[in-house]
Amino acid sequence: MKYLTSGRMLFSALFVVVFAVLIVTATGYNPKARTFPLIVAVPVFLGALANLVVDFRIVQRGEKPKKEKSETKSPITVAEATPAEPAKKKEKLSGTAKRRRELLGIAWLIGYVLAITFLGFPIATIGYMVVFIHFFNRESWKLTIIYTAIMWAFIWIAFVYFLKSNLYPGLIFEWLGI
Amino acid sequence: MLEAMWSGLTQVLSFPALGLMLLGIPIGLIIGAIPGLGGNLGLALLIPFTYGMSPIAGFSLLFGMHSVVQTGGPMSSILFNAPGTGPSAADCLDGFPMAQQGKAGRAIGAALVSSIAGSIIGAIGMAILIPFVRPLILAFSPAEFFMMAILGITFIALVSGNSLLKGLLIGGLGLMMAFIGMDPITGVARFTYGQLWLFDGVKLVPIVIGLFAGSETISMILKGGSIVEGDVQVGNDVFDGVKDVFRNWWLVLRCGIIGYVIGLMPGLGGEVSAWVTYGHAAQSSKHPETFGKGNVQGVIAPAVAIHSKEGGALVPTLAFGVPGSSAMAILLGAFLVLGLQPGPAMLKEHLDVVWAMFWVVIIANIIGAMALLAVAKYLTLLTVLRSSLIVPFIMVFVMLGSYLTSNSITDLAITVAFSIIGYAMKKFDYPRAPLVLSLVLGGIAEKNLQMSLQLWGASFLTRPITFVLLILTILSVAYPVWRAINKKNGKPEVAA
Amino acid sequence: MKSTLNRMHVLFVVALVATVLSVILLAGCASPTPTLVPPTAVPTKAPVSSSSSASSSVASSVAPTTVPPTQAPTAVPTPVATAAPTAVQPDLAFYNGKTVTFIVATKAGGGYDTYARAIAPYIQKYLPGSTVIVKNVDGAGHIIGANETYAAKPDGLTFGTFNTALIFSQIVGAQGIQFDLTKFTWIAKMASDNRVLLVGAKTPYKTIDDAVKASATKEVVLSSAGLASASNIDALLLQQVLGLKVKMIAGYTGNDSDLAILRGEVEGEVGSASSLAHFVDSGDGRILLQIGLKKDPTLGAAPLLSDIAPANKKAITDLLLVDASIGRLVAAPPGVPAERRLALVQAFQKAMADPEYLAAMQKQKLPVDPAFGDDVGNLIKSSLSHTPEDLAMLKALLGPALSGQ
Repeated sequence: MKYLTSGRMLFSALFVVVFAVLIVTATGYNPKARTFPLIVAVPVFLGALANLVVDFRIVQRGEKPKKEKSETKSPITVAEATPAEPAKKKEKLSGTAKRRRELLGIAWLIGYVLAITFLGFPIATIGYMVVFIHFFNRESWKLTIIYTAIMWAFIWIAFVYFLKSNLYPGLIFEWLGI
Repeated sequence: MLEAMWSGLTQVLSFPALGLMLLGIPIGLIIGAIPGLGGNLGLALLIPFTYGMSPIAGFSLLFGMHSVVQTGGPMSSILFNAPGTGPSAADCLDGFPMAQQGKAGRAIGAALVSSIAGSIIGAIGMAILIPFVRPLILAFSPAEFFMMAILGITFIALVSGNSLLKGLLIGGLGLMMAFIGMDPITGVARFTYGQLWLFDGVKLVPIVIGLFAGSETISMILKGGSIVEGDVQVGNDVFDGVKDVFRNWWLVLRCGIIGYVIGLMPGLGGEVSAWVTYGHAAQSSKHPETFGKGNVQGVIAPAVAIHSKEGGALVPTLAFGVPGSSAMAILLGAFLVLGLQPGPAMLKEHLDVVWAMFWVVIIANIIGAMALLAVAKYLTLLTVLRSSLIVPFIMVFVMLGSYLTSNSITDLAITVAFSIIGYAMKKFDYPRAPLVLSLVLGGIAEKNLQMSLQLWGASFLTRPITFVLLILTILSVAYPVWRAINKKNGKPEVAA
Repeated sequence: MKSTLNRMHVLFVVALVATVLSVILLAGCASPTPTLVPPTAVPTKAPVSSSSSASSSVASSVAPTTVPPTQAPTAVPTPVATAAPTAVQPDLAFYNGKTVTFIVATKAGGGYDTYARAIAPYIQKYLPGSTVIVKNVDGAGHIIGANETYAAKPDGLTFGTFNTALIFSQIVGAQGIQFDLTKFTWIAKMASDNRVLLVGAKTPYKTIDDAVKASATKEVVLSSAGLASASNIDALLLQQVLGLKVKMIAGYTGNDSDLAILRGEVEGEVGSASSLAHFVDSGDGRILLQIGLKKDPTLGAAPLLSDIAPANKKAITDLLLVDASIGRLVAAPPGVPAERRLALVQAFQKAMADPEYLAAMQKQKLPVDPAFGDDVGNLIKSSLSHTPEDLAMLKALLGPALSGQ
């Protein structure tokens, strides 16, 4: 069961599927056009299958990929890159709570873009900033408003005033005929 | 010639030229730093203002702006993992990890001084080598471009970090994405599935912004905190970064030359110079595995190259009237407005203008870099800003930049999609750099291969320069394999 | 903490549903119901009369100047009156305080962009109170920009500029076209730029006849930007008309072809006079042939295609001529009210007569050769109406190039 819900497996499987589709599409083109896509896609497809196996083993082991032992000391001090040890007092989420939070992050992105699409860039941006900073992260109203105002002022002066760019007006306004 | 040099210098340092240059510099820095705004847009906007100006004044404005665009680019790459310009994406790979380790100041310092170094190398190349460079430019044909692109693609192995298999897969994905669109050679619209906006292929900027910066925002919402993990003092190591550039002077020189030569070849572009030098730096380092984790050399190499490349691009533009890059094509128009005709005639009659350009490029870069160095410490504060404030900042600029690339709302969807994909890639140990590398180089490789075959058939491999590049490519692939085999056999690692 | 997560959980589900809905919506909006009109095959017009009427209208309405005048503008052709019924007055008041969008179907910095940005301030001047902004919408060889122009609200506040060569795309029925060139509200064209056949100085061809004769044994190697590009199409059409056998090497985008010719990699290319003139100046190239309504004086002794083309190839010759004589066209979506169209046309007329504008264009060596309103429109329409035989022949010739089979 854990194999089916593992994000890692899903991603690897998706890779395989995508390349299968690409190969099938490519074979539909005339010989000259399909040569290079096939030269690339076929080996990669095989590699993706191998990768699926590799990831399967990783999930089996419990999602801890075997780290390559790089014993050589580098002259340039690289901080131990993966801050795996939760030495700090940051909340360490795990399991479903972590996944929910990830989906949350994704939702914010999607939500912002949807807002831009429908409400237009100006309203979406201001709305997003206010909701994110104040409601989600519980910063004070004062900070929220000042920060939003400064950012918006910069955007407006640089883009609308100087560059006269077309900031997307939003579908709703188009529909309402404004 | 010395009088021309001196004359050019004095004219640049006098008003109105100096004032115009000072006006162009902040414009260029900002355009460079904001993802999605390209230097070409800035040029297109400024050129109408140059009507009626004297040549040197006009160039001070245009070059003052243009030379520093690539100085601003690495700033966002380092601070937010959001490349301000296409070529500065290579600086994300090591610049952002450095910022995460609290070393943003050092990275910025290194990038800025590299900018100065790169522009000096490029400017010297331009001014001094113009008379000799004609045969060199004419020696490179699609065959050589193809081999160079292939050589660059082999660097995928170097930027894959620990997961070579996954790196190759991602590299393959990038190549497939490079094939999307209407292939000019066969006229077949590949992998477009009927979507018109895919006709010209995928756009690099929305993808890279989402892949690197958008995915970071998801991470940050997940774990809160700030870009820097942990409590670290930031901003005190800017001077360390400056020193790093001097310490690595040999790398700087090599990358400057590579960038300059790539700039000489019209059609290769800044991204190629950035990635090829990045790969070269990784390859020639004793510890290639540290690249991608915060090795300052990975910041220096591309930063130098993207500037020396500009100097290189000026050469065919001035010497032949053939633009060395899309920005140069626009500048050619500016030349005419200002009453100059690029070509051998100009080199004879207006030598002082050529030297003036030389000086503007160098001086503008010095001023621009110094200005940023002065505020570098404050820029690094952005990395300790808590997520509730920095995330919206990044997200807004990411979306803004992505939309402004071509005024198209579908680009936003692409950015979101790749933010999610990028996040997944990070989580599941897929390296992201190979995607950008192969996306940039894949198109160049295939196109030039087709052209070479059309022109000469398979014998194009026997052309001298092509053959040399072929050998280099084979070596570049064989060497890490050989090293890996040696390691497995228990031999102590042979010093590179 | 738990309650926050639950709320956000709901938010996520809502966002997901909304995403799916809007993706569907966006897909619908991004490709509005195409009002695609198949290229007109007009069987009623006899071949001879259709082509001759096309060429005669071309001769009479296009302004005779090809060199930008240094003083007062040459006579602007009167046909503006024919552009609209005589009772119509230009509605200038409408534009006061409004934003006018000038769509350019290329990225910033290209030729179309330069022309648009050069004239935009003058359009603004002659539409008092308006703000003219340039919006770059590039992609699919000008098709996306043309689509967007066609689909914009026909209130007179949007117009666009794109490549005349879209004629070829429409004839062949290329993928993705959502416009009908015959239905645009035609405003003006800003230039004409003769097409030329250029060969490198080192090649053995001294005249066009040399090239044609030599190509019988060994094809002339020409560069092109891509199969669908003007450089390729023109060359293929020339092959039809003159019997000049060509081997096309595609892939030389932008100015790559210049270096290829210098290297001797290819022997020449077909391009616009303004972009290839520097070859002649530097002595690195020779112009063998020019395509246009009249000889460009800077191009030396090269003959005009129309002078040497066999009469039975008139249809193709005319097609090539239209591409050469209509440069930098400007059109608005179909259905713009007559008063506003007149306002726009007159604004362009005044702008292109403005001495400041002309001086600036001359400095940049950008040719200015205006025509307005229906003059442009009629030309376009005539170039799109062919006999079924001609149409079939053109489709067979250009089809593989343009429809990506």
